Amino acid sequence: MAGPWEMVIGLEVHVQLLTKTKLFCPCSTAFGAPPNANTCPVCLALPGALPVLNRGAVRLAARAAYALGCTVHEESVFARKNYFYPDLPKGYQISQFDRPLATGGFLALEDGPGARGVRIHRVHMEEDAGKSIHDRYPGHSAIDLNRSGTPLIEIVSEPDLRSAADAGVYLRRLKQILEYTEVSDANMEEGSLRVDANVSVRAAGADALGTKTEIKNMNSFSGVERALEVEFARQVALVERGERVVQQTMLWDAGSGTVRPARSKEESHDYRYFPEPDLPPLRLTSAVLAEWREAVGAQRAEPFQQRERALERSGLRSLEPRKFREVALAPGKQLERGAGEIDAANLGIVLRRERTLFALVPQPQAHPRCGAARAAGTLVRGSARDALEHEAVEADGRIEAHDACEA
Amino acid sequence: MSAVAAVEAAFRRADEVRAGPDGLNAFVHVDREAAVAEAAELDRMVAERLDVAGRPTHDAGRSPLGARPIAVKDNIATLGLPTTCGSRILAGYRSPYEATVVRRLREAGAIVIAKTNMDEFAMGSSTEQSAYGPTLNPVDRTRVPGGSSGGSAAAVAAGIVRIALGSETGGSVRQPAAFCGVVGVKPTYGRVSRYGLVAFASSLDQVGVFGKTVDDAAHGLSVIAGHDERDSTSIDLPVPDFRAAARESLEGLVIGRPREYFPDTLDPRIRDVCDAAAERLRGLGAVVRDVSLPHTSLAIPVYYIVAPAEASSNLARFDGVRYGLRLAGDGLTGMYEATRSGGFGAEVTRRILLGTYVLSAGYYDAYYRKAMAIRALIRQDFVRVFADGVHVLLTPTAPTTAFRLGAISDPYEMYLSDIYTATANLAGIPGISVPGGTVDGLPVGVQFLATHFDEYRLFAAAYALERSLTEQGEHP
Ligand SMILES: [Zn+2]
Repeated sequence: MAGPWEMVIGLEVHVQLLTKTKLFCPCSTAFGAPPNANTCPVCLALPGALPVLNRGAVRLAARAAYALGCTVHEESVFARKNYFYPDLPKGYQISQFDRPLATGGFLALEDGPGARGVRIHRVHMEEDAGKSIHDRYPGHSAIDLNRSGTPLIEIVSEPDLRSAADAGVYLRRLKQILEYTEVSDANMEEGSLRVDANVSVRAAGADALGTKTEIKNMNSFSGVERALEVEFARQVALVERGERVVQQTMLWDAGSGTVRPARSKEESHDYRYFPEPDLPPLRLTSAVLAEWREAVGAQRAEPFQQRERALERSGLRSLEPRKFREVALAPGKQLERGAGEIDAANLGIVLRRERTLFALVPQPQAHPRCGAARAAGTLVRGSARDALEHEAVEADGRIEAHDACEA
Repeated sequence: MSAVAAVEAAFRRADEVRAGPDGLNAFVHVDREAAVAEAAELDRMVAERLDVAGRPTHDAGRSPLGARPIAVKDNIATLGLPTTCGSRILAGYRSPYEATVVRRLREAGAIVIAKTNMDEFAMGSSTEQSAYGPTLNPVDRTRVPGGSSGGSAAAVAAGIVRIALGSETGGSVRQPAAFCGVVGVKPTYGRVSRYGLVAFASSLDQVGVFGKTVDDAAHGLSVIAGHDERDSTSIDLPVPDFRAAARESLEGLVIGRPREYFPDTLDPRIRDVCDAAAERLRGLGAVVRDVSLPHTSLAIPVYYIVAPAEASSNLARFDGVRYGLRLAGDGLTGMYEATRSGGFGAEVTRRILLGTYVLSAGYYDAYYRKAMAIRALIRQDFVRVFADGVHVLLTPTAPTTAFRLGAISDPYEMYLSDIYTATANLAGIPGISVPGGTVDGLPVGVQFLATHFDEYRLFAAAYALERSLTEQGEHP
């Protein structure tokens, strides 16, 4: 067979939700606690403990789904995904299987009417596993279950992407949506956003899909793009030699810029899914869903470009998080760049001190001070800084300056 | 009687009947000193008129149960005493938290004097499948007490405690109650919190209560019933005063006699006990009617797909990583294999394998999905009968009386011991077993079943039958 060859990509993105507590227990999700400090009988899977669903996580998951144009279902079902691993304390992960929270969305890759985009197959909720630490104690592995039970959503795209560059655009836009809607930090380097990619090749214009491989272990957007190019080249080379692509899991090695097949143990589980008997089906009334959908609608109405431009003008977007923090919090210090005014609708600042992560998000409801500024169409630097500073002094551990704006 | 006196009396009785491993083998964990100390503390608080939290109270009685020693099945989490589910894999395990049912009982004045023997992880019908060895039936020590909650049934039957907790997945309270000649109630699924009950099959499991009398069982259930936010499957419904059912008249009560529970193969002596019970209730004003529950014969096959499937997942957490037994093996997989092979007994292993099989790719639709569909039909049978005006069903609790230790070695034959009880677990309805008479000196249980959350009517029928038998001096 001969080219030209077309790459077909579908992405599975796991995203940590910005809840204060875990998905099925009241433990904190705060980052950086001593190992196993944020645990309880539920997330340690002690005998007899039972999960209780965090409704706040459901709200965030639904918000993300609406922001991606999905239908959120009035009834969805949690299921057990069974496999043994030391950092999976119950021996199963509570996830959703044949009845996910949401299905059928769309993410545009460009702005404007009729823009190219990617269909979203589904968005479902699940819990994270803990962490295995292999290099700390010689001859032993250590398990940290602080992350065990942290809420995740998995966003599964249809195989609509045709290039590594488009996959990059998809991921960057997805990250923006998740940040703007305050669903997640969506930080791939910190693991709050993780990407697995399904890739296959076919002759350009063909209808049938080729045999796909799954690439794992990528830890940056550019890494995803490089891994896709490398895997595409590998598959094309195989096909051109008349060989067959084998369905398997490939691991990306960023150091060497290569992919290698995962050991058989790392792939092809029979997860023996069945409905989670400890949790009744998740039911959401149409009234609640309508309210959530409207809240997201207000944010979606604002085109990204406009929001991006406002952020660029403010000078905040382009600053490093640490720098931004200094600028935003230093008393009396002026913003170094930008026009010195920010569209109030675009100001809402999420501060997470322990992670020095700052994201700008739109806030429909403004602080009285923000509101006054909004009325004038602008918000001056000083009042934004005051609002931030005030919160920064009072809060402990994690700060959400936008709370001040909502108060 | 003071709490200390009550607890000491219970221990004296335990000594007399030899409740430990040298005798009945009903008690597997006991801490006498701690129990007496807890009782002394309770007495002090009563004397000082303090409630459980140490706050002053005007309630002189202080607690709904009074100071009462109880025994708790070894798969219900307690602080202090170990919680080992009769399994080697949890040898020595102590729970850092306590089950909601135990907390509620303690707050009502109960003192846990022992954890009781059971079939490992509640998988069995004879209490022979325990890492601690079999429990003996106090009525006849050559026989099994039934199971899986055999230790609790034996403790009540031997007169050590009047109330004990068990758990049910397919009849594990009602069947041993019948074998030992005591009362055993399995509430509606969702009536009692499962938080702290070590899961066997989550959609079937429910904590149950043994009582020396119907009133003891009603008393115990009143204390533990009610919504618990820690169990998402517990239902937020008001809990009636079950003890008030003692005063209910049976006038007009419609009792259904399901023909599938009285097949031609049923031991006629057991049939006679049930028919005599029905006759007594008829004499008290009840109407007895023949009914049909056509899917009854499918209950055991369905049960032995659904329960092992859930068990295979629920028991995955016993992996040697965080608690319990850990046996060394070659690498991680070797450790898993060594720990789980060495930690689980034969019956538990059999069910984990069975459950893993029925959930596997390619078999799920043929087994699990189909079983769940039939389960819905079994439930529908009951819903229809109760909608047709039947208030309570009357059946034998078990097809036999207590069998001899070691008499049943074929697993399937053992499974048939639950043929009349597993249906209620599959349908989620409540059931109670009341001593109805004897055959060759061995107790026979009469079972009542009612619609979801109608334990009150169960108790009304149970009180009436018990009173009728007692008045005529026929209480076994
Ligand atoms: Zn927890």
